[in-house]
Amino acid sequence: MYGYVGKILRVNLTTRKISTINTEDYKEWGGGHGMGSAIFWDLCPDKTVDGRDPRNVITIMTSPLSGTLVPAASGRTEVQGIGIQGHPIGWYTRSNFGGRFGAQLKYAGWDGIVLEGRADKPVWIDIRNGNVKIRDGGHLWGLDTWATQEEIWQEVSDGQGFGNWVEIDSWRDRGRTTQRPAVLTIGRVGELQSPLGCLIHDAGNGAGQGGFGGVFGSKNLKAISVIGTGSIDIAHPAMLMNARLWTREKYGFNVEAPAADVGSFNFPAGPGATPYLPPGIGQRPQGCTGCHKMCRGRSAGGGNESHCVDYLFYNNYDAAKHGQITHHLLQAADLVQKAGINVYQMQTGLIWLNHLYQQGILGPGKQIDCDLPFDQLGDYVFVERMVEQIEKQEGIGKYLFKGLAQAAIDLGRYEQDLRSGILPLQEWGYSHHYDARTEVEWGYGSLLGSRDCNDHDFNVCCYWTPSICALFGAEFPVSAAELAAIIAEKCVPYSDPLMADYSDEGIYKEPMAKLVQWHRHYSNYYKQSLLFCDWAYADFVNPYAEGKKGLTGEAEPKFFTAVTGIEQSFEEGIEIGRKIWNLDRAIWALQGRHRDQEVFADYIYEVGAQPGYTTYEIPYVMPVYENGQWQYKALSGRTLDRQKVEDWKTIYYKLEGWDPNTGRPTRRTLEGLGLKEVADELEKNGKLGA
Amino acid sequence: MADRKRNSKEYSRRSFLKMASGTAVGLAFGGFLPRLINVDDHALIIPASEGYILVDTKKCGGCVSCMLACSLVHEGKENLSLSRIQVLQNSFEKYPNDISQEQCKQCTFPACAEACPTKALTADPTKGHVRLVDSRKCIGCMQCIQACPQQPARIQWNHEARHSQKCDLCSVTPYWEEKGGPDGKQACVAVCPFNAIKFTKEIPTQVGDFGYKVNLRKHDAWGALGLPTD
Amino acid sequence: MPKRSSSTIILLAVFAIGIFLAYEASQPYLYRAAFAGSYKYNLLFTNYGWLIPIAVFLGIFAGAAAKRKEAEIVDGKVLRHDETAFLIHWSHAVSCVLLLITGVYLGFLFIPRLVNTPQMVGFMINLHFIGVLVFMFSVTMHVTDVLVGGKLKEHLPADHDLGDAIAHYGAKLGLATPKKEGKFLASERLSYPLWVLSVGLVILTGVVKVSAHYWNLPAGLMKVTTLFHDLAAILVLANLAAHVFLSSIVPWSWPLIKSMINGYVPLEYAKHHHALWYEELTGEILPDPEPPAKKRNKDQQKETTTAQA
Repeated sequence: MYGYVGKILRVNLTTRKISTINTEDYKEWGGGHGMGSAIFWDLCPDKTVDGRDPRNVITIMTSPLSGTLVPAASGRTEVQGIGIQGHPIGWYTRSNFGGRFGAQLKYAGWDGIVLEGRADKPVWIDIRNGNVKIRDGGHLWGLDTWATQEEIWQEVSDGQGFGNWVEIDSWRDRGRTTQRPAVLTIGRVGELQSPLGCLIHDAGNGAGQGGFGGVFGSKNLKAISVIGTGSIDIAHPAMLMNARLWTREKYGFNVEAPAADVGSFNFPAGPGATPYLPPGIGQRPQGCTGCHKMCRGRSAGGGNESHCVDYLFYNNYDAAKHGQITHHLLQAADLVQKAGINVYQMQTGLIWLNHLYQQGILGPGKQIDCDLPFDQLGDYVFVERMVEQIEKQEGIGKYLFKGLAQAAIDLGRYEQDLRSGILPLQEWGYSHHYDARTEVEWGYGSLLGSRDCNDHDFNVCCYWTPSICALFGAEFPVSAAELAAIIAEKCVPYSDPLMADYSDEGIYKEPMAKLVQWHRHYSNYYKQSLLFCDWAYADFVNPYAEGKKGLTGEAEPKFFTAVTGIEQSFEEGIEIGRKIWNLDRAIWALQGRHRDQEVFADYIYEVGAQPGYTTYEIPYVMPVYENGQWQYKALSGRTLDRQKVEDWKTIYYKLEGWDPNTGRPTRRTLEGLGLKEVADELEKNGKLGA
Repeated sequence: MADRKRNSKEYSRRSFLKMASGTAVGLAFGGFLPRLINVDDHALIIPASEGYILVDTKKCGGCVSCMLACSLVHEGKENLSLSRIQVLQNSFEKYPNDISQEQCKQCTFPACAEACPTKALTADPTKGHVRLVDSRKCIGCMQCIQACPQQPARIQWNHEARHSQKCDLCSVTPYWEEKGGPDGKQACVAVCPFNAIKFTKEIPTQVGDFGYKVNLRKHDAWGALGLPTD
Repeated sequence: MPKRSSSTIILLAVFAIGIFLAYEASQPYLYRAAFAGSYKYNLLFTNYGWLIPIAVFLGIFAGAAAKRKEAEIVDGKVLRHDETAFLIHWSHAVSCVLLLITGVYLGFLFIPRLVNTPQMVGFMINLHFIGVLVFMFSVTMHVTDVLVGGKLKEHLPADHDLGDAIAHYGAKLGLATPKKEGKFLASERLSYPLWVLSVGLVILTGVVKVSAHYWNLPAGLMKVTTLFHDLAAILVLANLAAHVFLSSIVPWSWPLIKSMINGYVPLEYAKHHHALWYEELTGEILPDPEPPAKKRNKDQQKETTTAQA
């Protein structure tokens, strides 16, 4: 096999049995999420169990591209299973993290890991090539995520230390390595099974959403360590090398002569992490295995590998208090990584608590008693106290520990704060990430799924670039018409010239439904299954490219073929994405999903869009098609119309071949995808679309 | 019949012992001869390599694309253990101590070539005197790995093919169409996203590391990006 | 010729000292301090290669000087393997096993390498060298003994040997009538050329490989040489496995392994299994061997059927 290494590790934590699944049996699903969902379907008979139930099956999957030279597609690993963050139902969901773990898992000879059951006491899993051991984790339980990893590094190196070649076996020659083991671990909140718990790898790679840290905790699993010295066979090595250099020459960031790439952070963007450091602190951009753009960084002052909301949850407060970013921010970022706490819950939680504090509702001795030092908001000590209270379930932490949605319910503020939007849990109890009122494909995609979708494909070219250009009076890299044309051209096979119309009318029409359809399918296959990184793909508008057209549609199939030897067109890949999307949809149907549940938080329908729901959004300027022409238009103040959203959902369901009354897949659609037994299972449980 | 055999053996034995003593002297000298006449000249005069790899460890992003490219073009597969350039990192260390790049220095005095007992590791005159391993002659004794004075050793043990290997400046890359070697291209240099690896024909100073770990951040957009150039 | 006990002690001492020296030589030492230091261990093949011709010379000398004892009958036993045979056989056997084990540990062809540090690799290669010394000694001692004693013909296969060997094994299976055999079985003579070929090839290629430590030999030659050294080693291993099985494991060979140690087989054993040799030693003429019971019954059945027809 090329790209794939042939075996998936299956660990039953209850029986401590370690066995193997043949990757060949699931190869049609691509890798990552597709394989994970298919394996979950087979190995978790009762899909209605709670995420903390030992019968929950967690899969941690790589793709055939992991550990290879494919740019921004080598470093990510996908996790799926029944989550515990979603509200009111912890949906079967997914998360994803970067770094070195997926690559090391491949070098060790595994395409993925399946976790079943629950260990009787804390354990960690030690993977060294084909040697897999479940080890006692009592001494790790209670350690923060960084201390856990460093402790495991020492144990796996068998006293050989680092900085030199280390034999992976004590006697037989199966190779040596200079690399440290890649470890995935949880912090204290994960051990305590809080939905705030996330999975952390190295300093700042996190699978944050879904509460998988808490799920690990429910299985008494503290960490998984992997180190490998094996090879990934490549079908066409010269083609892969050429393709990599082709992207560097034609599409990639050029450090000699960077092209102006306003407001962009995808494929052609320059290295990240720069804006967030205190002045004068040395740093380097740093990236996951095989990446060409290095979106995060490591600095002399700390904050290693925290480049996104792990910074953004606090940078404004730090800057507001001290006049500039200071070491307080770096320390705060390191703390939340070590604690293994979902930073989106920190970000939204802080916004909410701060609103309540400003309104005099929350504070020492107030209606909601909270002794967090708001006069020191912006200092490290505030975050330290907040994390401490969450871990100890004291003070306001007692509520936050259960997740923001439940916290609001327990404090009797759920309805009003989601109506006003001061607690912006946009859908399924997940934090407002981008605004459903303006960038609808983000909201719709999240609503139809299980969580905040976190798919930036249109976010860069349709929101950030136009909005920043508008804000600073810069020239748009492409006109709205050009942008719409590029999108329509690349979004095969659902291409529609009006797909990118974010106007007040357009957002409820069929072309937008086609955009969302393409988006879900592309994301499910290329990004969640083949693991092309969301921070580089899809590439629609690229300043280095001819006609500014990005490499999406051409690059993804080219790299897939170079690595695996499998000839597969872009449209064939999108179709596999549709299959995966339908399988997920079937799992949600079994969990009880009905279209009536698919509604946004009230503020989306009742409050006009404006920045303030996150620490980073700016006023939305997006492409619209009005009065027969394309233009970029400011969309501030918009709300979504409840009935029109419902009507749009009906259009969407019909496009997907789902029952418009329930939103559930029909037999015809499922059988057309080769998923007859899925249709049978839905029918048996009375959840099949009519 | 038995008698005849014994007599013939007596007769053969006498003359044979005469021959044997002569042989003894001959063989003993023969055994010593190579050591007397074989001048181990490959260690005495080894020309300097015509190419060297320089790195900027403050610029490196730790993406290990160089390692992935190296094993890809040499072996046709991806394996960090088979890469002839190694990038080591510790996520929890602070910059600039979190990453180090460890490339072969193509030492002007190659201890590895000197240590090889079968002349498998030599400075190949047909490839600009780059120090490389001919795997057909390697007996797998690992002396070169031990001899390399750098830590980690810049020679890798290829556990799959069972021979040593090392950076050859891409002289022999069956899986890359570009011409390599000191007069050609190197995969790591070509693929590094930030140009943190550079090829040069000038011999770097052999004292310490600073001849090989240089600053490559001054003449491109690095400073303009707000990143440190010192 | 040293007695068996002396040979045993000498061999054990040689191997014990050899193992010790091989181990000591494989310990790395700092030989040039620069950066993290250049380390080396002593590769005996490189530093002490001249011991190989010395071992060859010793073997030739021993083979020419060794007195062979003719077979004698004592107390119902007959001498089959004299002290010279003891020394040649056991020095060859132990060194052969040492060479194969160290070769396997180092890994070749489809066999994975079972050592992974330079010290252990060096130890295996140096042990291989010790094995080479004793192996070369034993092979040249044997060859010299055979040539000087004019015994080559009795080791090589004769025309009727193939048929005799088939009858010999067929008899074990009850399918054939065995023939009278001499001191050496036909099957032994048939295997001799295989031994000569495999051992000869492994030595020839081994000499070329050792020479590479002293002269700069072409890479293409080394690749082919190593390949054939590996293949010859597999052949030797196969030969050894067959030899050990047929000479020690199968019950009818147990007296032979005992005699390879103490020198004597029971006379009755010689009478039954090596009738021609027995006739030579005693002058008695023995009747032709009977067909085995199974075959007798089958033949009788055939005769009856034929008669009836």
